[in-house]
Amino acid sequence: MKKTSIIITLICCFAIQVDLFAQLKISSSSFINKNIAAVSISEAGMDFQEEIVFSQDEIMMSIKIFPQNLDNVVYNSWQIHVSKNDIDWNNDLELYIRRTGDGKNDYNKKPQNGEYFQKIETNSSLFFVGQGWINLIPIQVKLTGFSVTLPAKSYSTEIIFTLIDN
Amino acid sequence: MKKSIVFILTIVATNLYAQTIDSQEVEFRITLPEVSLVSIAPDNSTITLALENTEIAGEKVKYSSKTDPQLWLNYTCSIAPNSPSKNLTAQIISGNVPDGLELQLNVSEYSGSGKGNFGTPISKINLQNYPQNIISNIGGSYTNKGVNNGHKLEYAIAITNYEQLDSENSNILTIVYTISDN
Repeated sequence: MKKTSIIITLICCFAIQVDLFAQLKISSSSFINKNIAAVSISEAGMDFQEEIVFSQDEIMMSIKIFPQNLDNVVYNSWQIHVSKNDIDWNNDLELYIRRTGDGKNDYNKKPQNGEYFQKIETNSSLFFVGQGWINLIPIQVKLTGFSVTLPAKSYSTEIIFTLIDN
Repeated sequence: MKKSIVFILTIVATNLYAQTIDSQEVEFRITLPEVSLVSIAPDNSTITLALENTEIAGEKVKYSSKTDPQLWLNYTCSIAPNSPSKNLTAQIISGNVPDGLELQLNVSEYSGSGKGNFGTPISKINLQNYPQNIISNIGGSYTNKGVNNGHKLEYAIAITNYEQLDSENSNILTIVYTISDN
């Protein structure tokens, strides 16, 4: 009898684990391609402006944890972490990110934290937290550290968002 | 013993909830352009160079500058990988240097609050109606703007032939500075 209960518990554990999955969806483009215009230098002798802040909804993120049930849609809490994986980058370039809105949610659940620009590092760090399903959270990106002293070419990095279920 | 196994399994199962369940990547690409900009500070500067009469017969004619000759060359330059460095040239594009005279230009080493790989100036040249390098091997750099930033320019005139000097002769010259590939 006890053996049976152990086996049932085991099966339940794995069944729960298998059932739990989620969708972290980037509904905007997954490729941000920007050119810094030469005309942004106001006069000979000057460098580029110090920073560029891109649009407030440069990235739109939606979070859904499945299966679709009351717990997952409304209560299940989660975290979004952010990091970057440099493809062809320069250490003088710094990327910052922030959340500019709360997104859309039928149960008045709002994400928390992440409203202020934080530097994206190669090590993952907490960006913001939330509960349940939230759609279309607007995210803004800022770039600093670019200069005419850097080689004139394209630089690219991958911004990685990771959804962690609490 | 079996109770503890169930307990351990329950803990393991609970821990499995706090896990990465999805991730998404967004590629971010930024392109920095090649830039070449040059200007003279102060803007639209005019300088007047003149020869003065001597008071004693037999002495050399004196050269004088009637306006402040301190002009500064400001530039901004960015360079693509595998592209050559840049040069700055000077050229008289209108007017002629009066007979018997040379118009000399001295370009100082960089000074100021800019940053980068500034070029190497020539010490002194006689300006002509064709471009001549005055600063070579300019890398990615910005001199900052205004006077006391960049390379100081000093003009002077030198007498090459007294016989050709004409006291009535006065010319206006325009000099253009150009930044271009090496």
